[in-house]
Amino acid sequence: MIKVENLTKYYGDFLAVENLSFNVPKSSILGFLGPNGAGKTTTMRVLTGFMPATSGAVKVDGYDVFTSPMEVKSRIGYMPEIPPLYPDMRVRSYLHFVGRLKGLSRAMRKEKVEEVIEKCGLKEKHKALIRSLSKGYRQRVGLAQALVHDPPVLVLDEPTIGLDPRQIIEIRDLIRGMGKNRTVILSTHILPEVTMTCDHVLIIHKGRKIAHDTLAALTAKMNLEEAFLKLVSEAEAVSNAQVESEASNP
Amino acid sequence: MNRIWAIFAKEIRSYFLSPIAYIVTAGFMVLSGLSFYFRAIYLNQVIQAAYENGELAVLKQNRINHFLIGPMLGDVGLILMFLMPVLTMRLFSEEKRQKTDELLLTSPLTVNQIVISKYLAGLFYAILLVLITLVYMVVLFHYSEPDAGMAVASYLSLVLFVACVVSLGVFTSSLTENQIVASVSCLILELIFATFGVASRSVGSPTISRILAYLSLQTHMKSFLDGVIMSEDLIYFVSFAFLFLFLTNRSVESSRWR
Repeated sequence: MIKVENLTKYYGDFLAVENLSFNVPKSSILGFLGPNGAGKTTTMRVLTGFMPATSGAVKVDGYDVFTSPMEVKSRIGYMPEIPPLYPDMRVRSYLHFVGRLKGLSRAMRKEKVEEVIEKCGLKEKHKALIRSLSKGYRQRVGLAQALVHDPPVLVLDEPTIGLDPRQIIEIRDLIRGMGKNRTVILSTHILPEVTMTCDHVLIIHKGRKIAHDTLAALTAKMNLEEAFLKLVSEAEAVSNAQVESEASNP
Repeated sequence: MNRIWAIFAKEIRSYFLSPIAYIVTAGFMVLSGLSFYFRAIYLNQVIQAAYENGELAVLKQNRINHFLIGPMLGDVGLILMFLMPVLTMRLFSEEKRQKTDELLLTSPLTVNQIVISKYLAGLFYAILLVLITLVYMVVLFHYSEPDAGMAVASYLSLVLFVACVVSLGVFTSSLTENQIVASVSCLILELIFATFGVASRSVGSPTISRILAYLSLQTHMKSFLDGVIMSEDLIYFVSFAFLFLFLTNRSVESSRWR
């Protein structure tokens, strides 16, 4: 469903993502891990067509993000790290607005907006101004916004950040439910979340892929936390060695 | 098209929700009212002087156009030149600051659709302000007989002028996430275009003088306000607005590539 080939992204001279390739099969949930600044958000932004890659290609459902962005964008629901909310709008009219942006007809919009309000637990707050919502509710509106056009692909950038334990469990169940008929990429720092929701895991470090496997294979010998720390410290050692050898042979 | 209207409607709604639009509208009404009042007094003096000197030929109907409607709409243009940047500054800056541009740019929309919908929203509000001044026209046409054709030409000129001002405002708003920076730089650009007109009169070389005069927005309003529609001026206004909308498109696109 999602095919990333040799993706490289530079910000000026800074290399954010280096030669990253991976596939996400249909109806699966990929846990996207890495330390802060590893390039997760950048990868997701390229994937959703927010910014173009320096080189490499991203294909969603067979369509290239760069050459047919409209096709790709209408198939992706994206929840950025900071949910893109307008504080002066009310929850329901905001969701209608997003539905319109995504090209839903009036009748479809009515139906889908009600559906996501129900699904994301916004029933009591559907008339509230977004500025008055708590962090947890904003996060839910962000998720509802990504779901409103019923996209086959979901890209979620740290969706459970700032939620209380009960809300985390709710959102987690929601994501797991969605993975049954959708392709989901989920970036997170919370490792148990990956263990509980994802079937595949991709770990990157300083823009490079350091592991991509099924959850079962990664956690066969040790738990995910240990595996993550081991892989990241190995990658760190390799990159430090590289820096040293470059410094000694100028 | 539906998507353009979605953003357009959102912008219009947020205008009516923000105190700034109301302050600008109130200020606009006071200022344009003052302009009408003093221009009317001046017209009265002109007519009185003409009576006393027995110049009855001067008392033909289009005095109202020359001494009241034209100059007043010129004033309205000046007022809008200062007020419009305050209304256009948020169009792109606010999206950037709130990170909602991420929603717009990952939705199935082209950058042109986004730019056009924002531009139309700004232009709509500007035209709404211009329409308020029709109240004075109602008064004038009720108590007197101004030349309707000339008045229409004057209004057309004003609308074209604000179309340019709004395109400048949309452009500067797309450059920054700071609304103050956006509005001040829009004002500075407008003033630069205004000084071209002054400069053209004081430059020695006739070629440079003509170029400067051509670049100035005010030069092109002049013949309109006198009731004459010239294709040269029309082309100037339209290409001005297109140029800055094109630059806005480039600026939004380039922010994605950085």
